[in-house]
Amino acid sequence: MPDIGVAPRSLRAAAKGTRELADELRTVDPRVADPIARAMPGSGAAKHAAQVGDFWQTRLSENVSSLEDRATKLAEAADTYDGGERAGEADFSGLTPAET
Amino acid sequence: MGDWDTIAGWSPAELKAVGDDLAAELKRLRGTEAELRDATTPAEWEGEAAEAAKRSLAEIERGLLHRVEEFAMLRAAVDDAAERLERLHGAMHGAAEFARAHDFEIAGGVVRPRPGAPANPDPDVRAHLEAQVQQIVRTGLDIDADLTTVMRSVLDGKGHSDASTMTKAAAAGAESGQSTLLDPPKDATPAQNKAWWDTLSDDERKWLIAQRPELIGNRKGIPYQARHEANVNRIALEREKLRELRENLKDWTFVLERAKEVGIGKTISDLRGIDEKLKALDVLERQAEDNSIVSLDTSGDRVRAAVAIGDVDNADYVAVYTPGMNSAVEDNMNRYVDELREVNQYAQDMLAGTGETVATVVWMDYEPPKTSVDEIVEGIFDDRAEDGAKRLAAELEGLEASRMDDPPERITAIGHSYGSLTTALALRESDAADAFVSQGSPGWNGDDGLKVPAGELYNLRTDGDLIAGSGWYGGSPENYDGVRQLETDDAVTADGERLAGSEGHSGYTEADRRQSTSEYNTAAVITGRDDLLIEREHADSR
Repeated sequence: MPDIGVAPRSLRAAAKGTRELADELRTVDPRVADPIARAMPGSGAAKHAAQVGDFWQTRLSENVSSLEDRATKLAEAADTYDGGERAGEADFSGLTPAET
Repeated sequence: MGDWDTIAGWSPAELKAVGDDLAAELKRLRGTEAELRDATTPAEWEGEAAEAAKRSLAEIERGLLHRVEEFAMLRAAVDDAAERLERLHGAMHGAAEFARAHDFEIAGGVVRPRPGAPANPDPDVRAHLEAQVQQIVRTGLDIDADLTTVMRSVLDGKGHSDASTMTKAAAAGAESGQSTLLDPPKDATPAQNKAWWDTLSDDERKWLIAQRPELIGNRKGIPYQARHEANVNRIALEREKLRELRENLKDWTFVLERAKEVGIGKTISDLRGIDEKLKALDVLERQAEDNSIVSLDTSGDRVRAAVAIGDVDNADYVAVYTPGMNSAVEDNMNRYVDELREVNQYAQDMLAGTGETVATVVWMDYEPPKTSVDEIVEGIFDDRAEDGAKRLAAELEGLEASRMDDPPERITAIGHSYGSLTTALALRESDAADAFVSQGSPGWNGDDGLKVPAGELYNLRTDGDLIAGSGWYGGSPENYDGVRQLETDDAVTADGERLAGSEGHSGYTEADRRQSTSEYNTAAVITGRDDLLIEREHADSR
């Protein structure tokens, strides 16, 4: 019975922490390097500025999305415990971001 | 639009603002470390779901560490680019000002005479400006290339460190975001070297002197103080290399391998020359205590070097003295420096009250023949002089280039004996010298083609100097038209000071604290004091 003893309160705290992490990540501006294009017009760096912005935007969105899913599933697991059922039913697969 | 204008249009201030914004976002990212801890699943939770939840958070954490590293990397690269660009814009402004002051302008990266400027502006200035423009563009493109490389690295998503904390990830990113130093162009001219040096920061220069002294020590066109500092750093390294070679040459397997690689002759001469080279390094190490080692090369059969007395980078008058046959650093650099220090002081005395200064380089960056069995024959030919002349010409061009922003009043090339031939050959390649003093010369292969202003060729010959009278190399300079023959006998200056006469082939400059007529005349040429010169009255009296 590996899941016995897990307090739903701990899982909810982890879900809350995860959500807060997602909220914090949302405040990071992924387009911060875009103005390089304005600072160095006609440069090679300028050509890559928007691409870096796109890249970071995608990655950070994926991270936020993963965190939100995770928070939801942690909350579901807590509910499951509250309901006296096994937490193994909560599915955490698919939370791993596509990139490293 | 050309590269020059494109680079001029880049804004270091805006770039700096991007760097600041990146720093702020990086701080925000790193601030998630606390939330990351709060998001950790309870330790007591076990099972498949718990493991999956842990894995998912680990993956997210890994992604965040990568973002931290990327932000830190780009922030470092942008800050670095902003700093370099600001310095580069300063160099562009300086070049434009310099051009204006010398009747040129830089338009779209092209150097051309300013409209309305007098005809035939100085070609040396033009070459200097063109090298500057070329280097500025080169550096500008390098700034862009370095920044672009970092951005590509972000996009590739590869090469992240294995940093396990945000602090470590930020440090790793900051380090990999630093740009690499741009080397000078291959086979750079002195003007290109100066332009390259001018685009570096003080920290970059210090780093190069400490970490890559071999790149700096003999580089013509950069400040002599930098060359000195680099060469001082090289002495220990060169000594170590020579000692290692000496040890290796005791091993026959190594000797045979080396003979295959560089030839048996070179291998034997290496072996024979190591002790002399080590002695030469000792001499230079001692010289570095009071003077500057502005050139050092151990790659030939003998050590080649140049020692400067005084501040070549700032002196108003600079002399470059080239000795002749039988000169070797280990044997007579000390003596030459002592002798030329006296001449330098006499020249300085002539400038009393003016605030102007003199510096003298004792230049032995060549291997003149020795009166040994295998080299005496070479003395008859001028191959070694020609070889030395190429380097001496480059040195003179380097001196001129290094002082382009603040040219000395006068550069005087002095050559003794075979060194006068070497100097004369160099002065057919370089127009940097304002005067040429020849002492005890066996000839200059005639006086045609010397790029020295008219009336600024001087010859000194003492009584009984048979070598000077030999005329081995195109006749004696005593017989050349347009060469002013200066007195070497006892004489009295206009101020009534008694000067000693010099004798023999090696008596033109002696470290005897007694001013000779030839030293006085040499000093007068160095300082451009035509009014003090004591010319010889009877050219045929020797």
